Amino acid sequence: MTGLAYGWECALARRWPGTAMADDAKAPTRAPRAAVADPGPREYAALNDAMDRYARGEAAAFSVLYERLGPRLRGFLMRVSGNPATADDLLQESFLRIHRARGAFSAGAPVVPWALSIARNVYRDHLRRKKLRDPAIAPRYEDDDDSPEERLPSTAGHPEELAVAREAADIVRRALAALPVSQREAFVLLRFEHLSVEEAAEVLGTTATAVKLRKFRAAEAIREALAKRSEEAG
Amino acid sequence: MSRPEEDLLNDLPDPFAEALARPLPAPPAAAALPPAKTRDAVGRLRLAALLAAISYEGLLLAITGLRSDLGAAPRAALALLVVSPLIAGGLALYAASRTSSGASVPARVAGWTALAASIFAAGAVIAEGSGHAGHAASVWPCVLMTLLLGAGPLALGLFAFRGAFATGAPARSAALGVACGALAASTLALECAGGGFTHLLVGHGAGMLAGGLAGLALSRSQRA
Repeated sequence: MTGLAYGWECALARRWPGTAMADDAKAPTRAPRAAVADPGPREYAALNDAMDRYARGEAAAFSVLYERLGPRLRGFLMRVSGNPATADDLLQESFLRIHRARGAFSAGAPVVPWALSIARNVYRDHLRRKKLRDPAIAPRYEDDDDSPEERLPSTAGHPEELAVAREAADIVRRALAALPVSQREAFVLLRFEHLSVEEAAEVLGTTATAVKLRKFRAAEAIREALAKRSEEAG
Repeated sequence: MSRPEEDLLNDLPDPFAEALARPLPAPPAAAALPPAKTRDAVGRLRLAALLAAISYEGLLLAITGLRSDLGAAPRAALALLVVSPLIAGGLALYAASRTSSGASVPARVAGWTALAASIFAAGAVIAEGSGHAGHAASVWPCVLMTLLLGAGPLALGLFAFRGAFATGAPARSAALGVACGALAASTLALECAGGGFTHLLVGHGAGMLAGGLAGLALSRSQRA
């Protein structure tokens, strides 16, 4: 690993103190853990209960659902669409569809994969509408008026570390943007949404094997992008 | 410190971390939400659709009349021709409506639907082998009749399951269509005295195939 790449890794660790890299910077012998925390079974149980109550007609449960499920759906929509403003619009549409489909939600079923499926359908419909408006547009990240800096970490910190951190995040964003939609969806669901392969397969309407393959290809593409930058830095 | 590339991927920075840290937009106002059925209401709607579908079959049967050999046809064979499509339809409806968890919804639904079709085919074959001995008849009038018998239940089924399928909408909608075609085949067994493997499988089974294709074509409206 080159000097700049090593420095980049340490900078990332200091910039994202909650990550495993940060822990390793302090205690290199500790095993790495997930950078984004899995909500845990208690939270899932609370979500499933809220959806069950909403399906039975309890209106107050909608706000609970929105508060607890909203961040997850927004995260998924933002990472697959690449546009925070679009993600917020699609989030509203997703909850509208969740509301409409509440009667079809089976008692005792897990709500997170179901809701993510609906969010994915919303995103796919959004892509279809865009393509109908302009067939030349390939399904990829959307250009928006926001400056790319607004999507990157804030400017506090050592200049070199900051530059490295921003660059790393931008490399990941560009690598995600370059992926086919199916690979991006699979990677986001497994890497950021903490779904199991089987759950991701259900959301994506495909087999577990296909999900693993899509994730592998996405990971390879991102890895290559990171390695290429490392080589350029070295 | 050197790190395998896999660990680096596991610790990828989230390019949208700061955007996601911003507060959620306000939820849709309760007053702005359109009316949406609860689970109980959906259950009642689907039951009503099923009863309406059966009534539709009964009405058409009343118009066309029962088969002329109803008293003379072997009861076991006749029962098989009526019941095996109902079992097939039940399986296909189960495949369509059950919320699944786990992988490969389309493959699972397709498996159940294929089993349903096999049960229908087996019933027809066994009935013929058991002395059904219906008269030779052209398949085409029965093809048309089964399409007519299946159209009403399919319309009712698509209405009852509108926007219900978050995952696997094409496969589930096709299974719903197969179920409606199976109901049509069961009804037709009470109306048509025609026999022969080809007649029963093609003439009476056409509704299942057509229903499946129609369900597949109209699956967009069934997607949540």
